Amino acid sequence: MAENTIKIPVGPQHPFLKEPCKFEFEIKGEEICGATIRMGYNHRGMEKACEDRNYYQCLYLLERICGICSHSHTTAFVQAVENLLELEVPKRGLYLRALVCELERLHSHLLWLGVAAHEVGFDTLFMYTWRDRELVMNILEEISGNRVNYAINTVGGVRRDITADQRKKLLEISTVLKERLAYYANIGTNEPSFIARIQGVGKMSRERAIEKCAVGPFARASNVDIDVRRDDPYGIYPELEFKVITSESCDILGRVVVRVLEMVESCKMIEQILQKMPEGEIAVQKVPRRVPAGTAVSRYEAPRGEDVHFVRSNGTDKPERVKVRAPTLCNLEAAAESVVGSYVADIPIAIASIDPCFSCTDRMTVLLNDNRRGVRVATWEELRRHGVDWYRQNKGIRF
Amino acid sequence: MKFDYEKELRTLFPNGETRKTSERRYWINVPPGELQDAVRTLRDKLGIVHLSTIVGEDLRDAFMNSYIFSGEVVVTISVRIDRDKAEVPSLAPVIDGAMVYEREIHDLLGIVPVGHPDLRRQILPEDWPEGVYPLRKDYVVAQGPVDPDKKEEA
Repeated sequence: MAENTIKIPVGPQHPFLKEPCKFEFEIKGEEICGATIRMGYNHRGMEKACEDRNYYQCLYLLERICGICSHSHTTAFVQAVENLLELEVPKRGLYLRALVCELERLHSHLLWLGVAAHEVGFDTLFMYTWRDRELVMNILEEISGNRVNYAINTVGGVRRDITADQRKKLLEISTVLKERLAYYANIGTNEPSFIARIQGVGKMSRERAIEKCAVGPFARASNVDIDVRRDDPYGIYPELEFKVITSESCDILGRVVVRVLEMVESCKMIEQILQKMPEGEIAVQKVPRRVPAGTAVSRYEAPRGEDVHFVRSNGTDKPERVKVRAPTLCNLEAAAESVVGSYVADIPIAIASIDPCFSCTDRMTVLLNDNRRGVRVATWEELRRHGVDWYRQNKGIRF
Repeated sequence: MKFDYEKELRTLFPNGETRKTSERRYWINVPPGELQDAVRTLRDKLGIVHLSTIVGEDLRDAFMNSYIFSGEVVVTISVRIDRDKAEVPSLAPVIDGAMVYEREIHDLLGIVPVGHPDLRRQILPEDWPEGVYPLRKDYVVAQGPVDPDKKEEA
């Protein structure tokens, strides 16, 4: 330990952290001169658990690795299994997968933008982005039945198709979002109080980002031109037109710009997907339960970067080994390095700038009235009405 | 004409038993002693610098580390490791980003990356017993998954 420095432990439980992780910052006055990380507080032994389960049970287990990029993990996993089975997935199934993928990217980046704004005390932007995120969440819920853990993937395709009504809604949302995103891009690059907190903070040079094997928007903001969707195209991405957004600023401002512009690309992709989606089957009808022995490496561009799944099969209905590498793992060390030289007050935004994956909570599910069980399910509107009436009658509150 | 990776890999690694498993996926085998050189060759001759991850596996008769490198194609370098002497040269001097994966494998499988500068625990808690590696095949989880449809035996 250098002279005149003190160590501040942050975590595993700390108000600024949304998930448990322990940091130790070495500071000299206000300046950070070193950082170390201790992970593992969220380790649930899923890779080991997969060895005891069949491929379908694994699929639903892996969906629960993360609440935000759940679709990423299942897609990466089913891609590997389909590769081992040599299955030809119907085109429409692949299009629907990509649709959910881009919607997931939208909601994840909107969530991140809100968190980033909140961490620097710009709560207005936080409210705006989370309001817009609800548009995406609602349509995801309508398409898949769930707000998080969509469970839309299955080996050989997807489980649900979209209706003409949903298609119309998706196009409307895309139009609204593009308008709002233009506004956020303007705020993000022009609002002086926001810029003052993020420009030149959390610097990560291009060379270090490559050496640290950083991925996703974090790497792209350091001008590393990588994107699995273009470099190792899977599904229907070869048929879509999109730009890979990079930034040369290498700081948090760059990460904001990259993510906002990426969302615009996602909106454009959703429109292309809806336009090009062919009719037909959405999944392979008969999928063998036993998977022939072999290995497969599957890569997928999750909202936070490259997600890698490795599957070794042994000819039975259970995998021999499943290895998951989520994007946060390779970015976290780099993020800790990027705070060195910044001030203590910049720690929350610098760590949040890689978008460490934290769980998002589920909320009320839309249920259909099921009279067979003799139970009546109240709708959201009925509950709201009931609440308003109750307070009006019993408390004399006028709304 | 498109660059022929398979041919190039065969030339660069004559003893590597290069095989193509599917579109843009190549595998080569190297002995542990040549790992660092193989990674340098991949970096300098083919320009593949991004280490996606390292997969540690227990093959029962041996361990295997597979180093997944991604660029235009995915090249996986696998190294067979003796079960009695679970050691492999660390990639830390060649690629900085390898350290975090090597620590993970050291934690879960007990494969020692020789030359790694920092082998503190990364995943397992501090009070986890020494020398117990949960991802090895001989480590049995006390209770497997519960089948909700199966009736309990009286």
